Amino acid sequence: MKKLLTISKDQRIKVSSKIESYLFPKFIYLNVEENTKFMIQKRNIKKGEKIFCQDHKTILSPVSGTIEGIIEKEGKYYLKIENDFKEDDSYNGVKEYTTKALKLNFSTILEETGMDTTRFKNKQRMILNGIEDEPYLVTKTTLHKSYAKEILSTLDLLASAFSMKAIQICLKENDRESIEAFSSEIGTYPNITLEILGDMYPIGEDNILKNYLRLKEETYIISTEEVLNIYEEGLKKRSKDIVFVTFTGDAIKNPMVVKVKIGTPLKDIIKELLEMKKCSYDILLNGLMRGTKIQEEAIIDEKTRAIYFMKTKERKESFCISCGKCIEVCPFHCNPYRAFLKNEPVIDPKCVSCGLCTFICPSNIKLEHYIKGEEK
Amino acid sequence: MKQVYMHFEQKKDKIEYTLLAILILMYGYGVYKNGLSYVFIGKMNLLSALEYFLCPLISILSQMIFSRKMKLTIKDGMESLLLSIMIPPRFPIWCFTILVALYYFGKKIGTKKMLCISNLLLFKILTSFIATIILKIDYQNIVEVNNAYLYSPADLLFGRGVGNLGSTSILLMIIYFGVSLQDVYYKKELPTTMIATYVILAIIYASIGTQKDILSQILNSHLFFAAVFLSTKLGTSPAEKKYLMIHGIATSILGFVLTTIFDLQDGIYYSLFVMQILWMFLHQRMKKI
Ligand code: SF4
Ligand code: SF4
Repeated sequence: MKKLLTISKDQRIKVSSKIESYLFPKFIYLNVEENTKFMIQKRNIKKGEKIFCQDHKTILSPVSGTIEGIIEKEGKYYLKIENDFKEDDSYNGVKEYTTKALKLNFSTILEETGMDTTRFKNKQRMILNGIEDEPYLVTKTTLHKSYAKEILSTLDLLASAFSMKAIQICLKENDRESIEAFSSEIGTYPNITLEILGDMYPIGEDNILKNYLRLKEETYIISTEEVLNIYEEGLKKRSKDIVFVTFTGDAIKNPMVVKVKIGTPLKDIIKELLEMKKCSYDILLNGLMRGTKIQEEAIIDEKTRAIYFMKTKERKESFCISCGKCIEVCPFHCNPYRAFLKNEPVIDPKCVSCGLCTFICPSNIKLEHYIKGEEK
Repeated sequence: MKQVYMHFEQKKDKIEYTLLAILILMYGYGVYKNGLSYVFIGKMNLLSALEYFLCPLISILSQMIFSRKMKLTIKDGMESLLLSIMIPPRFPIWCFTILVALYYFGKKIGTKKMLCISNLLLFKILTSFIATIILKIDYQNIVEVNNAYLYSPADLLFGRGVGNLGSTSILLMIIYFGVSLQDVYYKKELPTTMIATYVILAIIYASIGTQKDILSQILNSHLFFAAVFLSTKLGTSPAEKKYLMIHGIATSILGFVLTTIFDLQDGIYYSLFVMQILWMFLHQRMKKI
């Protein structure tokens, strides 16, 4: 296995350990397909109520209020809901199970909610990938701190329901808060162990993790978010309407984790919670290694995990000096150098778009424009 | 749009301080060996002994001029300071010319991205060029002229003089290689394969030919300079490890043939440039595959 890199971070960027909340935005915007605009009528809606179905997925309202209609923003369509701030937390259809009933019927309970459970079948081991690869990102850490008990009990239920022998929780050595959170709860689960790994990138990538742990038996790698989804949707029967988002970067004075209602405009959070430094900055979504550049008009959706505000840096691209580092550093044995020389985008199924090749290139060549993995 | 914001920052401080320490040590040794030791026995006056400081002085001055023009920091020039005492005194002028030409016209020919050298390399080459040219006028010191003696193996390894007077120290280049290994972008495969091949060829040749002095063939400042410094800085060498090794072996074989059989003193440099051009064309073909 190739030697992985440690990404050096600016120690001055520190995310506050206090979790802020932003749960009552005036307007909510839900990303929808263009053709849905004919299906939507102005009406009042309650929190958790079904709005419509899209791609076999039921879209539930995260707030109670009035559906205003469909609006277009930068080529995307959003369903606009005006919040009337009258939501109550009495979720529909909550059914409390006894621990014994859960242990016996967990797979049936999950299947009843429409969850696909075939991925867990015939697996001997489960790995919880609790690794946060991207620099300054603490979303998983926050989830671990807030829901360690729930995560452990869900993992335990999954293991007994699908006859898995062992569960390992993988964390990075520098993620001390997660280690502490799990260590204090893990005692009651003899089949769950902690695996502490070095601060390497991209160790959180499932394939790399599997290789690193030298796993031979059938293993299912599950992420923290997936476990919590099972817990929320499968056990508690409530739809996901909030996300934990890390707001960080060297262009804000108060990096923090915020519990945000899905559909909240980023602008509202910038205005209400964040203190910006007086400098020009780029906004990046979900990572500094494999993130995407976004604008202040962006909307927070269920896939948002981090928003970075980074001081604008101009990196002048120069010519390739054929140093070969991009080939050497690729953990998946791809050849971005050759893709670059071909001067046209190359699709390599092995590439996971981890960004390491661009990261290492001394000539600042944006290799991510030349080589890509297959769209998943 | 996808964007990789982070960028690898190489911590160069360690390399720079090591280089500086080496420089000070080597200069101390050079000044003693070529100057002060002769002053002590009354064969040289103190003023001539101190002329060895001319080289770093010229290097620093030219760096100050070039660094502004090329928007490079003075830190970037630390390596060129070392280069000014490492470059063989008989480094051919045509090589300098080609390197300067490559810098200005390189981007316009061939594959555009390939046959070109960076600002930094040109900067280093030019500063050391000026230092070498000026010192070449005063190439040999009076003592050497008056007391011509043969090079001993120790002279070959340690250099007869530091500061481009006499031969260049191979030891200095080995240290430079060691220091360069700290640089993640250094193509270590080229020097190792080139020197290893050359050693093997020298041994084979000595066993079958008339040339028996293996040491003077191996401890050759041109070979070391071409392998350790020049070959690693040219962008036209391969990027993939296996090709890099083949390239190193081929360059060394051609260089050995030109130097030993055709008796060309600059053989290794010819070989280096020929192989670079050859690779450029080969590469053009491979790109299409
Ligand atoms: S982005 Fe793709 S090619 Fe580049 S290092 Fe990562 S996996 Fe390899
Ligand atoms: S890392 Fe950059 S400069 Fe080096 S070979 Fe790859 S593309 Fe060229």
